[in-house]
Amino acid sequence: MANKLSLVLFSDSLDRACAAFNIANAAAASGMGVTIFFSCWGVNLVKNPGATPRGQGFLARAMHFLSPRGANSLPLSRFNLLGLGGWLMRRQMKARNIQSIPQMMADARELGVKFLVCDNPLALMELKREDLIDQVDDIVGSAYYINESADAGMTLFI
Amino acid sequence: MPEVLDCRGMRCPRPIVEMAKKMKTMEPGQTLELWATDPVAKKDVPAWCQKTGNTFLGEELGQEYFRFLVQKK
Repeated sequence: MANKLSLVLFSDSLDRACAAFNIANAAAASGMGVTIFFSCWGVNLVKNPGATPRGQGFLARAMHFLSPRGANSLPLSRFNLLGLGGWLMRRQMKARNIQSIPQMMADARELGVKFLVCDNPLALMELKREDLIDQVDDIVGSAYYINESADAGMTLFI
Repeated sequence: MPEVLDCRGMRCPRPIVEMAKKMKTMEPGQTLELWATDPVAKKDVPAWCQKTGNTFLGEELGQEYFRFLVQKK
């Protein structure tokens, strides 16, 4: 087993992303090789805040309208209350010196955490590489994920 | 004299992240004195040392803040 953490970030909620980046950063700081696969809703974390669907598909447009605009505006998985809960939680995190998601993502990159993005959700959301933040290393498929994770000592799905 | 890294006020996982960044800039055998107020640092700093192979030299758990001494392997 390699000294590696392979983490699938499936969701785009603030609480889950907090757990994911907290663990990823602690692992990277402890000398582990860390890869985060942003799949399904997780893609919203690596989306440029200004990105819009490139096609005219109804599903992509509707999802875009109802999705967070990037790592700065994530909802809570419960008690979101139409965004009020997320806003209050971000305020409380700041007041208590808990890092924001963008801060933790910056730390992750500095510590060498790899950001890989799953291709299928990009097709469904009608997004291209240019619609993702620069920090994304690559867009990959599941065989790449399997090869990358098969020998990882630690795997997580969040 | 050990290098001092002031992580007072920071919460998990930041003290560990900052310590890892700092250690990268140091030479093997050098010591780092970490200051922290995060209560979980008492458990996290020795655990981090165990995982990374750096040496945990000791701690002083003061009323105001904690001091940890770590030697780079």
